[in-house]
Amino acid sequence: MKQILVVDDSGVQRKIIIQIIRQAGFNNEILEAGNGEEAIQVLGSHFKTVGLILCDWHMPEMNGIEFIEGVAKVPAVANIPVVMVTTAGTEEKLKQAYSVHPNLKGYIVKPFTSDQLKVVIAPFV
Amino acid sequence: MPQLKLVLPNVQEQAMIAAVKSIVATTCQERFSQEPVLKRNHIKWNEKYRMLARAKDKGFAEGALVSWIGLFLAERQITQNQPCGAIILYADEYYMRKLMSAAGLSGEDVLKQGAVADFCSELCNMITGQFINRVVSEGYQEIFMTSPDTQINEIPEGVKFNSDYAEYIEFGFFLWGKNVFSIDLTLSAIFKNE
Repeated sequence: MKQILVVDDSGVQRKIIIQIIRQAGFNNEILEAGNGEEAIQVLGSHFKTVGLILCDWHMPEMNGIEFIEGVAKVPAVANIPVVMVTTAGTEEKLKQAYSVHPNLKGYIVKPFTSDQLKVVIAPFV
Repeated sequence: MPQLKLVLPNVQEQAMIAAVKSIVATTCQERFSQEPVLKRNHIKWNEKYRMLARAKDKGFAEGALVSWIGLFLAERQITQNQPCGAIILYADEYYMRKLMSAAGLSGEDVLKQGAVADFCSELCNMITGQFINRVVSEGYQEIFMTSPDTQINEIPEGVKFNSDYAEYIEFGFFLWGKNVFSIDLTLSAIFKNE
């Protein structure tokens, strides 16, 4: 069973996301990172087993858009499905996200309901 | 043609109230016990372009949390530290923990050191993001934001804000019959496509 990487600078938000994943009945192992740099470290050692990345936008050090832009350029991880989970919900932000990672699989704007998250991630877990 | 305009006060007010209501309802499954209380105030400066942000001025007890996020007209202004506005959230610690429980968090998630400050930061982050989404959907230009910063009681150095705009809107939000958190919003003129 593939792992899910949750990237968000808020530990509380990561807990809420993980709780929804568990309540939805998905038992995948979850990996966590607090920003893009940490996520790169995690992916470096788990790139063969991560099957989904849930990524926030606004984070210190390296933000989510810089991270997914980097992911899209590295063949070994470029095909891992990525879903943005962020407060940035304007049309311009959506366009920017899809332009840096054309294979983006979903875009969830906070606040989200558990059903919204479940529907978007279900095909990948 | 794009014109430099102040975001109309009623647009700011409606965007903020709708943002907060949707977040509290979706994340915490709670409804406000009364309509928010709004006030227009003159900015008190700590020093030039640094707005005072003290929880005791809002009536909160010692130990209250203060989170803030800077608003910017362009991404480059974030690195230049030239905000065009700010959103400051003042929150009672006890009621923040109650809101965390309402969001489904329990035990150590609520009690451990730093968890309530993290929740307050995330609340401020979601409110700011939703506020921006709603203002931009009214035809105003994109607004950029920083990550939140949270302190206890006050932001000691004040909140930097590069504008001569002298007013801010104060919103008081009530849950369980109490003023659980307040928000100060200040935003200078931005472009609108008309």
